[in-house]
Amino acid sequence: MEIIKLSAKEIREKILNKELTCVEVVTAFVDQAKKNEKYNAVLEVFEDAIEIAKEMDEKVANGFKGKLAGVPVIIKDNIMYEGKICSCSSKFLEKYIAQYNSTAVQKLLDEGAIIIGRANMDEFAMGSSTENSAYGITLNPIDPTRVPGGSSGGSACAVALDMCPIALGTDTGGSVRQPASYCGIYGLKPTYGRISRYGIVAYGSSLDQVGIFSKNVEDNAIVLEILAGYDEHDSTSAKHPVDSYSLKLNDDISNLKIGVPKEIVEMAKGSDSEQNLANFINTLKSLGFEIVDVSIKNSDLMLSTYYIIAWAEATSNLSRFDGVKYTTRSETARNLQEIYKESRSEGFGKEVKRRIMLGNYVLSSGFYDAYYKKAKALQGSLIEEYNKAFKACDILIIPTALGEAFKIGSKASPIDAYKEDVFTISANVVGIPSLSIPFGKGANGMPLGIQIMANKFDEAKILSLAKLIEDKIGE
Amino acid sequence: MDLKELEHLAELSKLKFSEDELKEFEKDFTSLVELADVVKNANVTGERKLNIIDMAELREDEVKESTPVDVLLQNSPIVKKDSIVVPRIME
Repeated sequence: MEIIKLSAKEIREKILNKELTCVEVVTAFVDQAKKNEKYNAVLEVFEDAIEIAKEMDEKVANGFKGKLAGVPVIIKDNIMYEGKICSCSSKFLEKYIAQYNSTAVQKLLDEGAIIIGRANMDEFAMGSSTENSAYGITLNPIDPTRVPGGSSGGSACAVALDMCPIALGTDTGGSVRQPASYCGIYGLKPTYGRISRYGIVAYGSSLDQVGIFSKNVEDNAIVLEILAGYDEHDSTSAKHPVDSYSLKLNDDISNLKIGVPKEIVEMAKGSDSEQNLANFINTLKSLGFEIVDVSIKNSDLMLSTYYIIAWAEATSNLSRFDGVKYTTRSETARNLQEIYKESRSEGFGKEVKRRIMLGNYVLSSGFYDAYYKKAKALQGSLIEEYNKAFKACDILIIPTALGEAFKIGSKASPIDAYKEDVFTISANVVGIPSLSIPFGKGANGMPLGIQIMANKFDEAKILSLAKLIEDKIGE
Repeated sequence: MDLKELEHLAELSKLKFSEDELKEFEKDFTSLVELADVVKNANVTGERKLNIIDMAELREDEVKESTPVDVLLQNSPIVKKDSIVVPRIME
């Protein structure tokens, strides 16, 4: 039995059955992380993980049966874990130590998970390739000359290389789903408000959501069940009841109607993803599902709407990094204005500076109405469009990305990089859940992904359909 | 967008750039502003939504235990008597 190949569910079962100890499990995954240092997926392996595993073994011996007892987890570097550095892969927060646990981390710990490291990312989650980290590029786990996707590229790479069965990321415009697609694993962005954002460093507050990486559907459902729910520390977290996702995986879903948005299929024309989506539709048909065409008007405005909102929120959120309160203060600054300017100029990377500038542009006097206010209005009409679509079907399917993971350094201009997000942003703009599942291969044999999307709080439908397809492919 | 406008944005952003950096930004900015202009030029009416979900009602205002000041200040660059030290701003 190779420990690192086990699912989270299997690990827990074997620990509770006394077939394995938490120390054996954590040691195996930590060793695997250290063996694969060259991928630069993990910024820090937590040295106290083995010690915590020992304590967990005692707890288990005393009857503890947490849903993730002894399961190693790696978290993206913008998720707070008390006492550990949380740098957002930025020089600015190089020495920033989390003083409390994010709600997501606390819930994992309560169920017995052991956090074994923090994963590399695009600085402040701004990027789609993990090339924007102040601590170096993460390599794609399948082809190291390519990117793992981003911004949660380190988390995706860690799961794909068996450094952990579960990793957390965050998804503002595709930052969990696109790297999941590029690394050939599952990546879920739940409904906005489904998981508390307390203790997550904010990028675009109205778009951000914690996401889950796993190697199979069931593990993803188990973790969602644990993380979902209202949190008094986050007023945008939803009081909506939490489903028993993992128990519903085998529910009868044969009557689900699957919608294919024609405007989005149009955007995939000529890409690897076009044929792959067609293959996926055939798989669904062979399983007996009814497929319907749906129309989502103004899909062509989605990318611009998304970026205006994301830039505006980023610039507001990042104004707190002023050199006064947190860690880094420029040593050359002589007065308050210089503290602001020098600290920010020294601490932030190029992409972060670019988005701050763009955010101030769309929010500045004379431009606010034409850009930000209009983008928010458009967001409102796009939400209505999706509401309409979900009256005609239960599930929407679209590609996760235009194609395979691209080569490192190949997206030279920012506009090319931004266009990478064309299929993933809609779930964030309208706040719905979306899961990227591995399906098919591109021209170079790299994995491709398909997104399964549903109406708000319908994660159970998504996960059940994904499970059915996982079983079908596995046959 | 010209260099002068970019300098103004840099000031609003509290960022400093060398002239070369600004010139590079200028190049990228044109295409990115075009991306934003798609929205500006779109003929769409819609209800502006402040929040994409209905917000949970706010919690009761109760006094609860919070993170101690000395712990919170551990991440601050210069601290004196539970306060963050900044340069004098008034003469």
